[in-house]
Amino acid sequence: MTSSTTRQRSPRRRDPRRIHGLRSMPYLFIAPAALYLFIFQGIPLIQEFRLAFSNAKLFRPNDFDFVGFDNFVSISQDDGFWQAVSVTVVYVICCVAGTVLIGLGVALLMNRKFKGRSVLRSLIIIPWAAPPVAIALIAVWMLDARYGIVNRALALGGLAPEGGNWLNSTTLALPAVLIVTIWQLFPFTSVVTLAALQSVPEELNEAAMLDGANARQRFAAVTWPTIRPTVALVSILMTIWSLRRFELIWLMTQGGPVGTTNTLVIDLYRESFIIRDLGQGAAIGIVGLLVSLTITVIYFILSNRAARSEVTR
Amino acid sequence: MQRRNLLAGVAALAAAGLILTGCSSSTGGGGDANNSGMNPDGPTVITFAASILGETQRGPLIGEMITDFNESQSDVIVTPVTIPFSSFGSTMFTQVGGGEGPDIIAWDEADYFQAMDQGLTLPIDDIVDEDALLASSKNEIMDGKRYGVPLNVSNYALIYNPDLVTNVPTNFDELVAEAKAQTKDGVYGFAFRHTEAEEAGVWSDVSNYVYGFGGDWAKDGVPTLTDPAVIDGVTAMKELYDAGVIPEGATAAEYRKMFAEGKVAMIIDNGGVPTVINGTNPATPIAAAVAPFPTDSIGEISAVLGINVNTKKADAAKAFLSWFLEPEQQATLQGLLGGSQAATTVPRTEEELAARPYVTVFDEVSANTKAFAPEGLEAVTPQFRHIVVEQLLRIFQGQVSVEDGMAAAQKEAEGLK
Repeated sequence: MTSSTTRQRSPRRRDPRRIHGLRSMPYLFIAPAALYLFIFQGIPLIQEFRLAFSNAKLFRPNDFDFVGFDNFVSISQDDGFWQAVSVTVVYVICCVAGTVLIGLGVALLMNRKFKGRSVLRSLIIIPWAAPPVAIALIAVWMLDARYGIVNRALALGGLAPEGGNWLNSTTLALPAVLIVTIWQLFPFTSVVTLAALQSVPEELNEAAMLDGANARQRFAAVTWPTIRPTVALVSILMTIWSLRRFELIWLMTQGGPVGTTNTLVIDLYRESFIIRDLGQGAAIGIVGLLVSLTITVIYFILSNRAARSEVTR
Repeated sequence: MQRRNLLAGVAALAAAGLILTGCSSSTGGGGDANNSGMNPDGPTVITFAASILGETQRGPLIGEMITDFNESQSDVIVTPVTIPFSSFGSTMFTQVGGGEGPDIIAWDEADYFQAMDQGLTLPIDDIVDEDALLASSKNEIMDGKRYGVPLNVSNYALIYNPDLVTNVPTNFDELVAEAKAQTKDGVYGFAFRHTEAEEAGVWSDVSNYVYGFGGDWAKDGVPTLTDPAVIDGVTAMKELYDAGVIPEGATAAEYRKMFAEGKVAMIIDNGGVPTVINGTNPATPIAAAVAPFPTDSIGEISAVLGINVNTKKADAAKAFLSWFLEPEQQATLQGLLGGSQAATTVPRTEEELAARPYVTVFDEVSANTKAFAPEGLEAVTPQFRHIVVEQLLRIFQGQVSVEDGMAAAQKEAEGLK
């Protein structure tokens, strides 16, 4: 028997049911978003896989037979598909390189102190904030062979291309689409990179300056290691967004002339809604999906390796 | 506690489901609670979709006709639905394929063939007097049954500005010469569609050249893309493209506007286009002549009225179509279509002939018109069209010769079924 003076309280044990409840709460909070994703992305993705292995047509989307890999064989034998693949590769590489490099340059500029910096930071967002449809329609007029302001401006310096037909030229159409795409996307990379630049420790820069490092050396030794993960992430996002870009290309060229701006997404749309072959369109979509997944997996493998090597250093 | 978590999870999912249900919107279209042809409890509401309803000139006038119908009786109310021409086909097929869609659809002819072939339109023999229809309306018959009637039929001819054109061409060489003579000082002698963005328009335009030079895209379901007459037609179009007489890169909307501004002298276009041009500039002088090709054969483009197979108000839809085909309505329609024709033969009024004397040219070519579809392969016109236009654009860009381009198209078209 213990007296009240010597009785010690046993440590208060937490109700295990309450601990489990706390563990379940995060899942409950993300359940609506997960449900949304499943309904609006998961189910359509499952449907796409079904269609890719079928002979479904747009006017009879629920009345089809399974045809195995026929659609994939058919698109692999189509020269237009391989042209779309090569155009997509060029488009994505140029978009990513352009948006990241220009975004980085603009971010470095905006990271300096100068008069009007805050105004510039606000203005730089405009291309990103503007609706892509509006940008595409304005670009079509700016690049018009007869009335476009681009040709008139270039003509002042004697640089207007012969004929001035940007969007109907097999050599100029893709560069024109790329310029408009990069112009629309670079503000995002610049803003994200700017945020990363502001996390670079200023004292490291100062120390490097004291050690006699020039601007390039300070960027390489101090700035770049800090912002590299952010730039890598932005690059992967730009890659995926470029793979999915539709409205700009469709409104400007519809994939023409003669397929020179025809990416996988444009090809998918044309096959599904113009030719009305849902099976082939879905097969093209699966190819695009696999490309995106492959790039994403490679990114995660490389970033995990980089993270592990940082830890073991 | 496990049970409480389970209940909390179910509650969260249920809440999410309710939110999603509340966010979803009901689909419009032909099927709804009014599930009989005529509702004895009140007027039956049906929907009528047509891209022409979006035209600035003719759209409101057809809208007025619909209003007249609604006011003329109390059983049926027609609600017009405007969808842009460029996306009309894909929008309609998506809706109809999904079991929905408007009750009455004014299909573009190429899409109509596909819709008819797939059983997406109801037969309407019981409301149509075959003897009253234009000869070209036989295209809407399949296996002895009629599945549609034209909303309008637009024949093609040479449209020119008489203030600019000094020598109205009567053959193709004269057309090229006059086009070159007129191309100066910011004015282009000719114009036609030639960009990927206007695939359907390019198909119509090149078809006129092929027909005019005596060719056909197919015979009895067999593509004939390498026939000499087809090669001649495509070569002729290429000759105009290379002559530097067309505003390169210009869309139809753009060059029709240029015509209205006196910056394009001639086009080969359909009878509805003068109305569009005059809508832009009422003062634009317009004249027409038979297209200067070696043969009289020329194309025609139609919008075809069909009743959606998904409709649950077929009787109401037929009531509207019957009214639409009555002589009085056809005469009204003819009056607002300009150079195009209604479904039935309607004599032009003296006032119309005085205001638009060029309409007689479009009427005169009726006997020689063909639809823009490969004979025997009408149901795969969109695929056939894509194959031909893809090669034609390569030919225009100089990537391939006319012969090689059409040979490639022939090979690909032979795989269509």
